[in-house]
Amino acid sequence: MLGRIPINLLMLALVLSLVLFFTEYFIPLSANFQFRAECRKTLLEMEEKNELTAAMRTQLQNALTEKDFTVISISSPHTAKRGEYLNLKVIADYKYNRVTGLFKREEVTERMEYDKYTVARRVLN
Amino acid sequence: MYKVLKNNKGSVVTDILFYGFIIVFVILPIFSMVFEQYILLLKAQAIKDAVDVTNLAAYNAMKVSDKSETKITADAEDIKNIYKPLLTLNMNLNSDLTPKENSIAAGKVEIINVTVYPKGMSFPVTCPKGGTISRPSVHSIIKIPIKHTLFWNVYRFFTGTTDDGIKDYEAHIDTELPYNNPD
Repeated sequence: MLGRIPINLLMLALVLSLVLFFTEYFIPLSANFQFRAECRKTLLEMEEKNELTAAMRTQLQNALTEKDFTVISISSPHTAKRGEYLNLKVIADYKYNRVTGLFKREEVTERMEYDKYTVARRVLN
Repeated sequence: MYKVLKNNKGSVVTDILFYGFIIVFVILPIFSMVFEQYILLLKAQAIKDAVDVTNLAAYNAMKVSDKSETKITADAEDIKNIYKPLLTLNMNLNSDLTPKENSIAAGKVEIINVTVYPKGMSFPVTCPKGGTISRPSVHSIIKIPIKHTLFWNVYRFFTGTTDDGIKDYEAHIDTELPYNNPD
């Protein structure tokens, strides 16, 4: 006789799916951390070089694409005189699969935004 | 274990109650606690990033003559004038340091201390919080009210507290200037 095995298996499956459901909440948080780290790297480079170049934009775009970000929008290339403000605004979508209901799994899109200012470095004469 | 499960003694209801107990009293509290802590950690990280970028930008925005041989504290009006607008931009605040929509701050931000340690000084020195500064740096302490994310309303319902759940987070950041900084 099977005894209490079926009900235990069913309950175990329920517990495991709950654990999976909760664990998946950490995915976008972790992606957001990576997103901010990449943007920050570019902002520091902008501060040093006094500009956002097309090459820097492409580099950032590639880095974000590698990390599964899509629909990436980055502020257009611009230059600032030393001492002036430089802005980096990046908006990107992060798509991932998540449990959204009982026996239901679908793709969810999370929009992330980074909007920070720095000041171009001054030159000592 | 298999023997226990195969045994027909005991009731299925007890098993269901047992799993229900594990879900309600073990899995849910552990995950909510870890999740809350993780979100707070990310918020703290985002605040530190914003303040760090602001520190560096504020130094760059200063007049060259300000970068003297002595430290410059936030009492100097020009530092406040440089630092405050940059902080409002990077933390999405209004000009009076109250939060805008989507700001990470849940209340009015307070600049406790900003001290600039310029290149002309002799290092190492100790910052007001006891940290050792060995290179030209900007030291800042910013108080940011942040809100707990989960279960605050449930907690308030059960305890009857009138507290709004907002706690002050004190960000202390010592930002070293990059080695290739021209100043």
